[in-house]
Amino acid sequence: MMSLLSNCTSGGCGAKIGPGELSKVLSGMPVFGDPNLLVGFDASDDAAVYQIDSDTAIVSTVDFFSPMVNDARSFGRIAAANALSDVYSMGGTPLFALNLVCYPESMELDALGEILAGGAEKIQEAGAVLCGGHSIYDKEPKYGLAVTGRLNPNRIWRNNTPAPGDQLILTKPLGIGIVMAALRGEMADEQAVQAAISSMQRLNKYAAEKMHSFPISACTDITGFGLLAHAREMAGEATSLVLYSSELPYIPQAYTYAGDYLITAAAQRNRNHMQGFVELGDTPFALQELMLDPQTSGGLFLSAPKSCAQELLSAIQEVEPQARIVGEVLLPQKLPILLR
Amino acid sequence: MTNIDCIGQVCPIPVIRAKKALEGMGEAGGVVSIIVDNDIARQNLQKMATGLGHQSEYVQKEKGIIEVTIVAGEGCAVDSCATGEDSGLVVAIGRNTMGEGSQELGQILIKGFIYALKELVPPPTHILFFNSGSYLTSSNSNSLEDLRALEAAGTVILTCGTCTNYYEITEKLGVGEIANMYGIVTAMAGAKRLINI
Repeated sequence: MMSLLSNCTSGGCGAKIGPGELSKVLSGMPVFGDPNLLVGFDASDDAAVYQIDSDTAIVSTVDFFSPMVNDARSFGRIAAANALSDVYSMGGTPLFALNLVCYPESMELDALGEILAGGAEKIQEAGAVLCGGHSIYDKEPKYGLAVTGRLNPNRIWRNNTPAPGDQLILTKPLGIGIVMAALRGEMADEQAVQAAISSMQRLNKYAAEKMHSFPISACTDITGFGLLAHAREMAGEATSLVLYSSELPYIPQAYTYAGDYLITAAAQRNRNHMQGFVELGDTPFALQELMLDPQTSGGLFLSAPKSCAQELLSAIQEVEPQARIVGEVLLPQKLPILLR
Repeated sequence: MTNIDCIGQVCPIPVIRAKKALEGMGEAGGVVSIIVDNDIARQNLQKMATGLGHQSEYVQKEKGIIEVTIVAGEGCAVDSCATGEDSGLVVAIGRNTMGEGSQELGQILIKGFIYALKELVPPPTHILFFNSGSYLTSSNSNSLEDLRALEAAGTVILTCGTCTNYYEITEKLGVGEIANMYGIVTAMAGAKRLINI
């Protein structure tokens, strides 16, 4: 059988159009002024939020990409977990999902069945329902979901509203992109690949559920743009974020692979994009690459008051043992991101 | 010299192949030439070369093809080991006007100058923008169309990142890529001919 990866030039969130390129295109779009649209694309947030009445809003998001792993079932799970994540990162609960499928005419349909079964597993696990979809032929397979969820309009977790004095938590280990690059180069060890796949398949649902008992100032999920780009987005104009580079959780082998230059195109694009926003200075090269590493179905990155951050971390660690406090929020400094 | 063709290959493959070739040369070192079809792969190759303490340079060829040369080992400078390829004409523009005198006239002249560059055969390999020259690559520059045509013809357009940050126009970059001073110096050092405006 033709392998899933053989048809793909790049897989997962590493295939995202670079943040710089994207903002160039989006800057020309009209701004829609509907007061019920609480979060639109001008906010660069994870999902759109539209208010229905005083205590109900719907959250809507879409995500798809080409395979980054060879196993069809795993790919389906990862793509679905990744698409569902945007609902969790806004503080919402997924209600229903639609499949988005692109598939080569020349490939066996069995693999497509496996992809969809993997996706359906995750939709079930999320407590949502699959209610349809759309499929077309394409030379590269691609899969993902359009997801609709609900949330309380008074408790939206925006991505750019951290408060000075907050601490920052990252729920999943970094290094997914690097491990997948090593896999592409046939230099990854099985244990690292398993750690990456298991992390990508894991829903952010469980961490988000723990977070609902705490005041959350801001939240996003880490994507192909990498930790630093999301940190910069979170800092906005009103704050600067300090990241403790020695506290960052990562898949251990990823550090070694980065040191061996098993590096991705997306991380280099992210590096170019971050020029002028962070001083990487004498941070070890491997750690720099981890902070710029494109994550597929990455963890949640959130800001919460220092007074409850430790308790929140302990709660999250029950479901995401590698979660760490990775930084803090300051009033604006010389640069939006500082490394310590 | 070892030649590696990485056309159509995405990172990390070009970097892995180049690194293996370099390692295969052992202590004696040598020269590895890698052909890639995207600038990000070029950047990753040079990042690896710098990290491993090797010298590197690159030449922009036709149709977006880039040849990166990495030199490993002692006493073997890029200049003497590389193929001696003509890296062509590099134009460095450090201001948004041309010549001394009326600013209005200077702005008309620089626009005309960039328009005329477009007519050169072959086009410049690089155009470098720094200081107030950075305004010429930002989204409201009236030279944008000419520069995009040059870029389409294979000219690498680099704008100094320190400068766009200083003028707060990084987000407005309308053509080419942001470069650091190392990238600018490398392009100047590799020029066969250099025009300074």
